Amino acid sequence: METIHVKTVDPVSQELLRSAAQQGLRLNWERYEKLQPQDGFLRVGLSCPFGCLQGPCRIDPFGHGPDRGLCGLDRDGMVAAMLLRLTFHGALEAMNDVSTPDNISQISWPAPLDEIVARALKNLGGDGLSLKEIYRTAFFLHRPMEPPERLIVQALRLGILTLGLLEKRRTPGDVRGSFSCKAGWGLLAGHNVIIGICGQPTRELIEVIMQRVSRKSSVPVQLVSLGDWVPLNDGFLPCACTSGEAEMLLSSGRVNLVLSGPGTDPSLPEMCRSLDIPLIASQGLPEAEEILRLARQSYGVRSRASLTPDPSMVREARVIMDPQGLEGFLKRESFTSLALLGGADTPQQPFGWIPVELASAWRGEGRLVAGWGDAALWMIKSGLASDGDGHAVQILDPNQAPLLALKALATSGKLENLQGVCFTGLKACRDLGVALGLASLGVNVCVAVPLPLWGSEKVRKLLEEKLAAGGGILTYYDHLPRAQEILKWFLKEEK
Amino acid sequence: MKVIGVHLDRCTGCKTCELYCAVERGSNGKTLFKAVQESPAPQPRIRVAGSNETPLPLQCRHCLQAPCLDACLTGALVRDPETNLVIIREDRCIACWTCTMYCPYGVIFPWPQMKIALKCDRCAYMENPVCLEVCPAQALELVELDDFEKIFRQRWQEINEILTSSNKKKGLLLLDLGR
Repeated sequence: METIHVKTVDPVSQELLRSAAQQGLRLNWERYEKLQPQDGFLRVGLSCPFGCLQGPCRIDPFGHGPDRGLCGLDRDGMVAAMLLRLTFHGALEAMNDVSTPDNISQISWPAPLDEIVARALKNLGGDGLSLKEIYRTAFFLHRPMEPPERLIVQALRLGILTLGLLEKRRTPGDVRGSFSCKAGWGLLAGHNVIIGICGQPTRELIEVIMQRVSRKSSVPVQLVSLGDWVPLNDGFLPCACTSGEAEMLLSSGRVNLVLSGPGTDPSLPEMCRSLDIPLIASQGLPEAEEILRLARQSYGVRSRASLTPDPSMVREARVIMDPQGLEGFLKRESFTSLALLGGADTPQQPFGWIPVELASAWRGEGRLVAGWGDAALWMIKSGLASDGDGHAVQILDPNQAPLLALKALATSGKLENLQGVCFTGLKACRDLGVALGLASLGVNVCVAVPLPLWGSEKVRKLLEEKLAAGGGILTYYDHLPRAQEILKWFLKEEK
Repeated sequence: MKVIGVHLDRCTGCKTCELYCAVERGSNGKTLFKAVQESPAPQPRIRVAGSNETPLPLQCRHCLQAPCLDACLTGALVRDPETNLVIIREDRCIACWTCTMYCPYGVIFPWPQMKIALKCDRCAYMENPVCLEVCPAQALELVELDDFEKIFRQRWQEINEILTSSNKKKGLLLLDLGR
């Protein structure tokens, strides 16, 4: 049975875990352990993903039980459809982020990505991409009638579409240059009223609160993000922790009020309720004054704070917001290879272990690292992104990366220097779509968490062949890989 | 002696016990992702029989007078003196399947590819049987054999209480269960 040995590499987090255990608080780790083993049929892809009410049909992976669903669908069809359904959700998530998706009749790509995409699509059916792919996929997933090959090709096309939607998400002229981002437990040092932001509240609300708090007050108020990348006009909101550590942070008693926006996990409001931390949902259109009043009131009431972090535990890094920013850096630095590391925290691996270990091991003479997401926050926290020399890890805009890096490399003619892209953890289906899209474009992609593809050898082979035709690789494991293993993968792919 | 009791009212027939029994006890890799790639395919020691409406997880009862012990030609099936469980010594099994024919509950299964008979040993060398650990409905429970009578009485009492409660439906027959 899969077991958990180490929860996080951060000593402060380990201290908070102990403190939470003493208080009897149940954090994400406890939930994860209690959930084990998670539905095995689903994990190997053998739980039928079609939207059919005759089921649920599940196929025995060892062959002594049912080998076909009620409609006659076999294991290959189920696993391929599972992959398609996940990428379908990923594309829908990406579409939701685009402000006016109805206007996108045809996905256009900036040069020189257009050539790469055209080449990839030639291997995957030939036609251009549009939002019709979404409707076509919905039709495919209506009833199991298409062969696995067709479903896999469609999943890869949706992967590229997801990349295209991410490209559309950032309108030209929206954001330029680089943003500053601070991260670390040290943000909670001192005697401030702390307002924790989780999810994505509207930028306007946060700006208004920040204007109010900048006025003189007897007790200063500080806004920190609980792991989400919250963009402001001139930078990102400082992140006190990664998204995986948000519950631990709340358990410390240092946060006086939580402002939640869309995308907040249900565990955080629950934690607020159990700890009597005032919680305000941004969807209720709260007044900034009211938020501040409640936070100050809570500060006066609350005195229990088990966390007294060192103020020096804050690191700052520049976040590259457009391809030109990365291009400039790549032109300045002489390098032979660039590794991209990113993704969300996952309880399947010790938090921070893979990003910090890999980035430390990879960067060096001629080797550069760029990161995004929770992985990037770990790199910032560990100081890997704030070194003065040219070997500092480059942090990329979490909404565009790794597409941003791909564009920069393609424009500067250094695409062959892209060593590979490693997803240290997948949280949303959109991340899986991005991984598949990149692999379809000929990039070497590695996913450090198991994918539900192990129920069908045929599907795994078909996927490998389709990606190989476009020059791409998607590596995933039948176990939780160690950092050393992924490093070896990068070295193997070294040209 | 502790045996595995089944709460039939809780079992949903999801076969998670079968899946993880095969992974934990039948595979070399011991993880689901590795086990599904192994050949021959790992086999479980517990089987869920019956239909979706009335699923019935079947595993060895470790009978006090076990016919399989007498049937075994090579002495591969033995009673463990410490735990009193009927266990199979796979190195001695010659795959004659005599035990599978003698088992009154049909819970010894042939594994022709490996040329051994498969039976539940209640994960004797582990802290808890894996099927218990993984059951999402907690339909399986490890109980002392002597406690079964107590459990039955408790269940009869529960049923009586339900039937005699104030909001019972008119015309419902009161069964004299447990008396």
